Amino acid sequence: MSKTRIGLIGAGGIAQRHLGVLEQFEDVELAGFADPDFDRAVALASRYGARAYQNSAELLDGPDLDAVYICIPPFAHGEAERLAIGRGLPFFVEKPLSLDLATAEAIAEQVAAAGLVTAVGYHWRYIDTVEEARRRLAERPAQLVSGYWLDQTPPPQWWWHEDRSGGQMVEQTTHIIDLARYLVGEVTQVFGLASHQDRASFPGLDVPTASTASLRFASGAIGNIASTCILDWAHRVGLHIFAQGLALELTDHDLMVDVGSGRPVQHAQGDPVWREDRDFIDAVRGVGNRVRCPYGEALKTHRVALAISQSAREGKVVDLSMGN
Amino acid sequence: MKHRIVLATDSLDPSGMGEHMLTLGGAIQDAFDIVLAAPDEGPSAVLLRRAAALGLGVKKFDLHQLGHWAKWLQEYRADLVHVHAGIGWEGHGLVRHAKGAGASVVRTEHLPYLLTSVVQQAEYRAMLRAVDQRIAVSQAVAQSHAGWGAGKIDVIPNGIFAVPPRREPRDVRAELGLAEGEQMILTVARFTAQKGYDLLVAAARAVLSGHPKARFLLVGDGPELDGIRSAIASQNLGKSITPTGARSDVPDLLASADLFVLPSHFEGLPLALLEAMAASAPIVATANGGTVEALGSKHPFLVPPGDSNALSKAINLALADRATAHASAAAARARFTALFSAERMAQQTAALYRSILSTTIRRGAAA
Repeated sequence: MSKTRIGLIGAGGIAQRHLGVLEQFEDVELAGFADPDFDRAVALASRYGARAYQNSAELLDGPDLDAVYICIPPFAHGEAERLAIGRGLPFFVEKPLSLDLATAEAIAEQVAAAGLVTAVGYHWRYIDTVEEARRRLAERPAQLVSGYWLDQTPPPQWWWHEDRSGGQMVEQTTHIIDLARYLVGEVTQVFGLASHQDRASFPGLDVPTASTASLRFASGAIGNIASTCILDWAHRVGLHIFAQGLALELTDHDLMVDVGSGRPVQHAQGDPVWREDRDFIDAVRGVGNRVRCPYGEALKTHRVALAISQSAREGKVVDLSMGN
Repeated sequence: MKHRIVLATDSLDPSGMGEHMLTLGGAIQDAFDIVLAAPDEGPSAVLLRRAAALGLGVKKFDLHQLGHWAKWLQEYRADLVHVHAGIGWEGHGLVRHAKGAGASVVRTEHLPYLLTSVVQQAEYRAMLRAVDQRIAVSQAVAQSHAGWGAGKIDVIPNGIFAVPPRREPRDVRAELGLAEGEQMILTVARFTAQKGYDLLVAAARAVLSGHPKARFLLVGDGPELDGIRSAIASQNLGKSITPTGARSDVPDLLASADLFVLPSHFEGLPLALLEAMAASAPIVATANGGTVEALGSKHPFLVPPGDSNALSKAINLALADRATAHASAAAARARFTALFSAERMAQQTAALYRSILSTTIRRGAAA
């Protein structure tokens, strides 16, 4: 059995999450790691007998790779993707795609032109209870959605700054936006509001500490998604969906289905990141492309998230019906 | 697809042996897919980082959990594992698991055979059953191993890349606080009993009585450093003998030194000596097997190991007779170029790999 040789760009927390999965795959070999912090790259490389590099160009010029994982913070996107595309390398990239729309659109165009296998880390699509919710909603279409990312402030300092992370809606709540699109369909109109309070423990934090968005979907459904990072714990992260005679409460670990007879909860089984990585590797190996969120699909979610931020900045409704 | 070679050591402080592995790996990485494997502790962790910076693959392992090493070897499907050992008890687990994973196994002995315990001797013999080919870094190392286990030993003498100095001697000497006319006597070696620093300190007094401007610089680190410091202090030699700790500018020091002294009790084929030869530094050394092979038996400043009187006499002579000192340094430089280059060592090692790999069935790592 030949092994699929993978390189990783970025050696932070989310890279570790994927490594924990990829190292279980017998048909995968972890061949190289790149990080501007060379010691972090060495620390990962030396777990696997791999090579370490200071930047993505060196990695992509180094070992013969079959695909690359791009696990870098929001502000760093662009070069790694372009280099991978230039070498005809399939890539998995973590959300959000970029800070600005132009970068992601240009990448999407090149990916399409090259016909490359891609995947984006919107792993909620791989939660088994999300499948169950989809089945339910196929019978009774959603009319109202109510999404939440009510949480603490993440520790990495880049996250605190709008010009590094894009803010909570773009960096975190984008998972909920993607989930809403996956279950309810395209978003045609958004109106965002955002507010900010300084947080003493997070000096210099300039992202909105509360934000909310009203959404209109092409299906006629409407909804709202709210975010805050003002807590010191994770309070609620999920999506509530209402249809005729059906209320769903979905989180990343369970699903409550309310049809008027109690509030039964089913727990999610298995690891969605495992399924997500497996689908990507299978697509790279040419044994069927079942990737649920390729780059072009993720771009549609990213457009909605950026439109919400833009709307909050400009105080105006943003119409997306043309773009999506 | 290139053959997969793993260069491995279980030494926690591989020092010169680690340098050798880096030199070898760097020199043959175009021809082979090289991973350097070492424990993830102390100086070995630094070795891994340096290997990564050279572009080699790197693999850390936990000495107390070699099962993980075995599992990795299985998954990685190395074609050949080349274990580097200092004292004979090193590397047994690495060898055994490499063979168990189906790789060809080469083992380099970097030091003479020093095992005296019957149990260790038996363990060494048993370990050899998993070794396809042994390498010794000098004839003397090979000879000392003769009769202590089955299988022949190829001699591939150590080799290094000559590294030119980056600074002018007068700047180096100024930084070291050496006054005009002071004679810089340099030793570069780990502070272990093997290296004979005790003899050097014992010889220093006799040298200083004839050459009061002699200044000894002892460069290196190691467990005996504190003991040597005390010996220097108790003999009131602190003004003339300076342990500097480990330094990264050895080529600069060698280019500035009036004399290089290596007082070891035993040696394989010391890299520091080859560096001194490459730098054309006049050399006084103890006549250990590997050292004699490096310098040649006609070298004028070879002394018996363990004899501080002979050592001080040779140092005095080399400081007094500069014409002979410089002529012998030129001869040593010529020997280095002809016999001890990294390129030659790497070519011989690569040829050995190829001959072993040609007789084994490809394991399909790249299939």
